[in-house]
Amino acid sequence: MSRVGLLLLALAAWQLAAFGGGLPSYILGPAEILRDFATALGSFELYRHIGASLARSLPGFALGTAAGAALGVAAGVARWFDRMVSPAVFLSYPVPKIVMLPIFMLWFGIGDLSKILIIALACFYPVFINAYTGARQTRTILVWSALNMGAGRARIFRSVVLPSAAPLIFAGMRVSLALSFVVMFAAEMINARSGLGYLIRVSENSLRFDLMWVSLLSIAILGYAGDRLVRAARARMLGWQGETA
Amino acid sequence: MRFALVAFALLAWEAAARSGTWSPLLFPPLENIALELGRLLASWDFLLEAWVTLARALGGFALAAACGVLLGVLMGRSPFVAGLLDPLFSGTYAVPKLALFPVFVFVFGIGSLSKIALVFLECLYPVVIMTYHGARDVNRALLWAAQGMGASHAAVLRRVVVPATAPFIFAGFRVAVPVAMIVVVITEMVSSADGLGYRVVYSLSSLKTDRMLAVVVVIAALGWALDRAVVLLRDRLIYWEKLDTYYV
Amino acid sequence: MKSLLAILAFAFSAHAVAQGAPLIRLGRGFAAEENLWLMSARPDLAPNQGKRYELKQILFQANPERFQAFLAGEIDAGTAPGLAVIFAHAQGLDMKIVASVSQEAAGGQWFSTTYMVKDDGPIKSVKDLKGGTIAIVGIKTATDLWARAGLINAGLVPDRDTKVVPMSFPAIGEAVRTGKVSAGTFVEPFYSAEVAKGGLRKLFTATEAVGYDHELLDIWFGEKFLRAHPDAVRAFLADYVAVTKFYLANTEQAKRDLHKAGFVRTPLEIYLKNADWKRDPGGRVDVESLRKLSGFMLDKLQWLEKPVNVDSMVDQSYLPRP
Repeated sequence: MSRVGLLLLALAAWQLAAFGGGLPSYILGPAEILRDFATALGSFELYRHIGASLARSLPGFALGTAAGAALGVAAGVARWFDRMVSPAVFLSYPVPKIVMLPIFMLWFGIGDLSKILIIALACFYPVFINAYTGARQTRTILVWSALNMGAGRARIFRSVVLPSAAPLIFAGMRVSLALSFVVMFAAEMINARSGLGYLIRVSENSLRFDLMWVSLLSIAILGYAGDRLVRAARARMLGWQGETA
Repeated sequence: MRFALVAFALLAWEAAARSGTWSPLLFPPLENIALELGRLLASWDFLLEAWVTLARALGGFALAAACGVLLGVLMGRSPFVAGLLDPLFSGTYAVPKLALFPVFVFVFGIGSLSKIALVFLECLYPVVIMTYHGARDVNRALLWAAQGMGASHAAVLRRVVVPATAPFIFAGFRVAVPVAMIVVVITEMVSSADGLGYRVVYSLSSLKTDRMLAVVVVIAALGWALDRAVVLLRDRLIYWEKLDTYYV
Repeated sequence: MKSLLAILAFAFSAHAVAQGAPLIRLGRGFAAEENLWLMSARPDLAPNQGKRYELKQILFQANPERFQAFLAGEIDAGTAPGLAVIFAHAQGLDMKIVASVSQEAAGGQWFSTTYMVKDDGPIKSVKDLKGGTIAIVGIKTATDLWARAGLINAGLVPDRDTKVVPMSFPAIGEAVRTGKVSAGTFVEPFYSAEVAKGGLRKLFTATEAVGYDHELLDIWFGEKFLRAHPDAVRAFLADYVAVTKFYLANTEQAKRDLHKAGFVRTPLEIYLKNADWKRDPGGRVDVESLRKLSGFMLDKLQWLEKPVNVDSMVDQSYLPRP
């Protein structure tokens, strides 16, 4: 009860303010937002923008996390690879990747490719770092036991290292997913002709606050749903681990 | 050998710039970028602008750090508070708060305040979540030992909980600090008349890509320096444990 | 047999023509370009379209993006303030102005971009903008230049005394009213919409700020495209001049067509009543004004590092003979 209690209370207070007319013009009450959202769901426009946004964030997410996981585990396992790649990654980690967007736009055009690539770039880091740490932290005793039982390198990698690193990789993926939405959104706000970030910017500029809140709600739902999906996938694949977060 | 990859990337860049295949506006030669960088660093106006960006990031972060640690410790020690706030945080965690920026601009205006507010909101999450985890899992043996020795509630908090949670707090800081920089730069790129993010957009609009890249280098350097500062601070203050995982 | 060959020949040549008609990807804006938009809204008025050239108009929010898109090879031509093309050319972009779209001119019958402030606000003259902000549409665009010109005329130093903030046209009205900015740029159709709402007062116009009639928007083409498809460009411009003449003679009908085709969002009644900018019926460019603007950019604004040869940047040879 207390879980949703706070949320319901906040929503009720918000709606009351809307009734009383205490809200400024750019903040709509929850009931009105839901109504506008329902209307938007009926029209094609919203789906077009959601589709456009997902068409950028999902490939970017997939590319970035795949590359991050693969390279991270490789760096965790092979010392020479680690020496070559890790310094560059850790050096560039604290850099806001979004600053590369203007450059990417010049190189790859103002279409979707530049955005997909920058999302991939941003998603790469959390997964790389976690995969790297996860692979390196594989408990030595497990590796020794496997060696003792006569397992070869490849087998050890598949059956010991990967499962060992998997929880951290999933944690990294959760962060990357959230990040993919943020970067997609930012990229669309800065320069795009479709998508939820574009929709918010255009509606803010045309003072269409109803559209603004609808796209806000859409992106909130997408973010939440995506996160739930990753958690579900994690529970599926890592059944033996308890829930940590 | 360590920086082989970086060196290779720079060489490849220079080769591309000199090859003549692309316009120098697309691939400015490194010396142009270096020249612009020198000019920027020698300009008082630019340094002030860099300071504006830094101040916004640090201001928002400081607020988030203070509130975040407080909330995190409270949540960690009180199941009631945790039950109340944890659903709120984990539910809205995956929602890009950046989407709220237009609303912030309406509420706080187009100056620094809207940006600091967003930085605060975004940095709050990592700090709260990490602190909460750390505070929740304080080793029972330590707690019992302290209480056994007659320590008061406050003393237990101060002498046992906070030090035990500290590695997690700093892990949270290490995540939050780059977030602060990213958020400030993005907001400045979208809506601002000053700051480093604005400089990037301004240089691009002026078609001075070499200057734009020089500003990018400055932003990168600042982000990197801030991260180093957090690590240094952590190693100074916490000598008993190092938590190197970034995300749990 | 003969008829089969004839059909094949026809099909082949039609295919060749369809393949051969060069596509002009043109970056457009959303104000003051009616005579250009009409070419897509009323293709029947542009007889060469589809035969000697294909036209695709791509909307851009502000000017800087257009040049970036050109740099990235995504568009071949576009509209831009004449002065912005001078500026881009000075930076190394290889483009040429080939025709004029609209001009800022003094005189009651024409509209000139207006800078407005809140009616009951504290700002009575440009000097009062000290310490405030002025909203423009894009960095290094015409609105930027006029704002700075206006400030410099009143003895203020742009960026130091008054901040210059980019914002999109629709947001500027609200921004001025709520005090987010002290003054803002207003073009049609936003100007009439805001005047109808009331509460704003004119501070100065673009023409006043600069001091003489000058080019507002021009059509530019990338030099590579001009060299590769001169015939397409000539055909395009021939149609453009014809459409311009139609627009000037049948403005109301043209505006209705544009509104129906979705080029303008303002309510129709307000849009029909808008005053219009000055447009040259032959699409001729006022090169002298560009020369003066370039001097201004060099001396007062320091946007240019060295003088620019404006004449080499304007090529009116593609326009049809009057």
